[in-house]
Amino acid sequence: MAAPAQPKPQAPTRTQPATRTIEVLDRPWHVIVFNDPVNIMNFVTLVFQRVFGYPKEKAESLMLHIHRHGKSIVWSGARERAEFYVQQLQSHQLWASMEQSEP
Amino acid sequence: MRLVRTSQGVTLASVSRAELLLLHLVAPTADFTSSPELRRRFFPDPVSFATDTDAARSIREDWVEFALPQIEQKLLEAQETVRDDLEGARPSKRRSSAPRAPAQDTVSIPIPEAHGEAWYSALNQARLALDYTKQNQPKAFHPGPEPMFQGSPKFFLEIQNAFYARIQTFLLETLLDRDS
Repeated sequence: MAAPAQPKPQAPTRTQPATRTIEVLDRPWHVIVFNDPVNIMNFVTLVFQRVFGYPKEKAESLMLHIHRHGKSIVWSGARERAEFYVQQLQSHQLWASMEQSEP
Repeated sequence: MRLVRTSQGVTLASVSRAELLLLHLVAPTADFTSSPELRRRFFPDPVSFATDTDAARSIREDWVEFALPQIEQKLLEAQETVRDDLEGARPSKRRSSAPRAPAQDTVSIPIPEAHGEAWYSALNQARLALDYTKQNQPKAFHPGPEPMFQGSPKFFLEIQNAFYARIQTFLLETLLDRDS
């Protein structure tokens, strides 16, 4: 009869360094367009349609908001995308800039 | 001047000498390269004014290095397109309805459809510069109670601005915004 098998020694447990996931949620950036006396209203609407792919109704509504209130947030989201949109808008000579949303 | 939609684009027809002069002034008026103040009007800060954070500084650095040169290039190319198209001005044809009318001292300027965006941009640049001049030279251009008199700088500026806006509107309605 075979001798009973000896239990294998347990492999030493490694102590893992304590880790924790920290989710850094970047606050969104707003793309803002300001009113100016030069750009023709229908052109501003057209640029919003082209740059953001907005339907005409939404583009027109944003344009009118800018005309009446002096400025409007036209898009919000990630920084890189906001930079791209500001570049597109300025290349159409719209007065556009970006700012990060409040915490 | 008559604005005519053609199968190839748009033609500025029956352009008088005075109108041709105004068209030749588009690019020089739009020239933003010689004035730092005008450059700031053309290329506003990409980050809203009060923002001074690490992210904002990084965006401004990227902007100066990558975005701004591309925008400038696009605007300058538009001015160049207008200059080139003006070189193609040719004497207007006699209207068939008035075969015996004396030859008019006018020219015709075809704008190919592919140049519509560039013309719109260059005209807009010129109007942006005119607006800057108007806002920053209050003595000469401030709207006061006295009427504008013909020949004054203010009068000329307003004529130039209205002339360019008229062409822009036509380009917008016929070439750029087909759905309008």
